[in-house]
Amino acid sequence: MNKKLLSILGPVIIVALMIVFRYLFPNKITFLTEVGIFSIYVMGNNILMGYLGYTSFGQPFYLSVGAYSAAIFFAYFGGNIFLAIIVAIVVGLLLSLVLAPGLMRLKSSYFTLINAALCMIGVFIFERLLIDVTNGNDGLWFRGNMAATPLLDVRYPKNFFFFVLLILLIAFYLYQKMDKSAFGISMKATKANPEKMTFLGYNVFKIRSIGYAISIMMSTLAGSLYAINFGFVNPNLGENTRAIEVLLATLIGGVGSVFGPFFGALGFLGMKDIVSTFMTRWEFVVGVLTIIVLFKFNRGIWGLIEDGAGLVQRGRNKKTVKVGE
Amino acid sequence: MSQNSLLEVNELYVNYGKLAVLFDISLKINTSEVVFLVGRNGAGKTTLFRTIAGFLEPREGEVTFKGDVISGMGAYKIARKGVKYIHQDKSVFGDLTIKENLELSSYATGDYDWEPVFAMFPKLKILLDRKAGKLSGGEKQMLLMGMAIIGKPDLVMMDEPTEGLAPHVIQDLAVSFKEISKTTTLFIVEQNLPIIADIADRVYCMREGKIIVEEGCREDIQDLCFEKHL
Repeated sequence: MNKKLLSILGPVIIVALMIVFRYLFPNKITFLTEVGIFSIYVMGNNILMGYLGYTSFGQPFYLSVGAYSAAIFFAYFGGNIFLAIIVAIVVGLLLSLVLAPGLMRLKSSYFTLINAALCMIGVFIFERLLIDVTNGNDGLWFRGNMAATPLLDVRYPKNFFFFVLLILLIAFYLYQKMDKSAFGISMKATKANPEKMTFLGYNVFKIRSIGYAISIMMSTLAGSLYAINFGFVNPNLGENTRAIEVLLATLIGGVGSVFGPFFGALGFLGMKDIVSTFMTRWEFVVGVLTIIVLFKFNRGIWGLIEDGAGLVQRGRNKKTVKVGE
Repeated sequence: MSQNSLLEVNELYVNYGKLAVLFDISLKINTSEVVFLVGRNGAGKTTLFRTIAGFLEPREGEVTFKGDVISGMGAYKIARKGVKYIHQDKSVFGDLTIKENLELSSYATGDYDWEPVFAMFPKLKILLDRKAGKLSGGEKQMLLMGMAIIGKPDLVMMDEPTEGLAPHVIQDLAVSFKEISKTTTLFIVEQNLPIIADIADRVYCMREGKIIVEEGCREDIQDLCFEKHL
């Protein structure tokens, strides 16, 4: 399959396979929905890691900001699900506007640590500082406040699954468009050699800030979807110990690729789902498997798929030459 | 500023922290000239280039380009004004194809006409879809020069463009320098004396952070008279 065809059909095939699995394994609908949401979350982190060269230990903070934005909207302002998602994305944008001027001037190691600190601050804010609004550790319940949506009532898990797939499909196409755009190439080039980009006349700070804003908005979007899915949020969602999950999923999938985040999300959650059925401390096995994957296939699952497709293509070309001879 | 002066450096002092590295540097590059900067390792040539390109701020003095003071201005703003700097390490964007590398230059300048680049370096057109990281040293230098001339900059500064390249590649590059100089002013740090003798209009010699000689006579340059100062 050539690249153009892959970019058109790839997202459709992925979504179609998700639907097939949903009907083959009806009891796995929660898992598949989570894969869809987690994919969007990983896509956001992939922009930082794969396109800008920043490792963030603060992604749970952004995720929880999105989740709480939607939850607070439902609890105090209204029941419109679409509006709640838009509110979460806008809050993500505003947050990035506030943080980017400071964070995007930092070296990657400082960026990593400051983001870890943001997680701690976030948990404190949602657990203690805003306790009157968020109910602290008891969490904020709002499922009863969510209003029905026209055509497909996404309050129900079986419908919400399709809604998540629709958002995932849109995210895939926008992500691909970004990847192939001047801006996508500029981000990758900035990661490789920011000084050279400056020689060419690029404002590296601006490129990084826009990339960061997109990343944060994707995380807050994922956060709002988590909130809607569970009908409840609590401060644990933003714990910095959870940062490793999204980082590992990004690595497992293949850093800097368009489809890598989906396969990373599927791979990570799949390993966790399977291992946790026979072992309480699933982290051990998932950790070992992750190390094996990363040592053996450092371009991740997507890299493995690309290499496999390359081998098949080369095999076909050889056959064609022999026939021609 | 004289009528055809493009770049002027006036009484420039540059420090790395507390360490002074450039002292009282003054020079002038006129439009359409090919000017070389020579000197031993550690003389301050690259520091001077980096200061002109905006990566270092002078402690004293100023740099003017087309009459505007550019010292202290952001490096990307200087590049947008028409000063292109090709770094000595020949670093291209290795994970991107040649096409994507050229596109980056086009996006930055708004100039999508690559014909002048392909006319000068036909090999780049053949290798358009190859990853830039897989190119040879000479091909990388061609790509860098191609990227630099997109957008028709007024001044291209090159830091040791022939360093580490095979003799036949250097000969080809010398021809390219002449071609580029027909439309663009060139300011080049170079150690290869035959090239300097062949194409330089003027030569500045640096030693220990100072300009010690300016040689503007073609015959003297061809006879490498400045060599005794190195």
